Amino acid sequence: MPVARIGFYGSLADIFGRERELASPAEGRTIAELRTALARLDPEGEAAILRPGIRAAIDDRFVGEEAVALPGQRVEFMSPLSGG
Amino acid sequence: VACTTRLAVGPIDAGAELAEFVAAAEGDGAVVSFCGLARGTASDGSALDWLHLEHHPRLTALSLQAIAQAGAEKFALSRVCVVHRCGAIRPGETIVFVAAASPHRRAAFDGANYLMDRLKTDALFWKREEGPGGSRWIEPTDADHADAARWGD
Repeated sequence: MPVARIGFYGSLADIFGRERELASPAEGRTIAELRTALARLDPEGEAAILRPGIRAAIDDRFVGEEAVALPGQRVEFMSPLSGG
Repeated sequence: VACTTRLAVGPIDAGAELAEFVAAAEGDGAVVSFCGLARGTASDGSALDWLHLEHHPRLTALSLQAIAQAGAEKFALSRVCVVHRCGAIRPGETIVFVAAASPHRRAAFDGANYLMDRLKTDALFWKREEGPGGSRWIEPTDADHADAARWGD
């Protein structure tokens, strides 16, 4: 099965690592489905990936929960931002 | 509008940045600048050794440019400069330098204020404090979100 490459930023990277790969069907997976798949990996990960304020991007564009990531596209989940 | 933004991997010389900005602000009547420093203590009062600012390889620079542009348009600023550190920062070092120029002072004050509020919540950085007791991620507070929301964007 093809894979989805997923990157993590901020505190999420402490839990999931900087990047990991998940099996993904050829028709892709929505952001919501990817969150659910990641949440199943471990209890700490579930709380982290499902909490409010975690943004998602596909190929450097911020997207909503129903956006579909196709195999080969880069998905990124980002913890709440803290600049300045 | 001239918007200059830069991601700095090394120390920021705020004095030099301001001098350059003022020199280029010919014709304007006001320049307001702000310099954010890395604090030496965490929110719980414990000592800090380092502040780490993680950034995104492509989107962080774009977010700085978008915030600078939004501030320039919102307050009809003549010039904007935003320089933001990334990586490991020692207490006392400059994290961010912001400057706004306009024909009159009110727009420059408001513009610099706006830029900082937006940078706190919308610039793509992830901040981690490191001290003798370990490391801790810092996330925007309710007050930070309220500060950004008051501009009505």
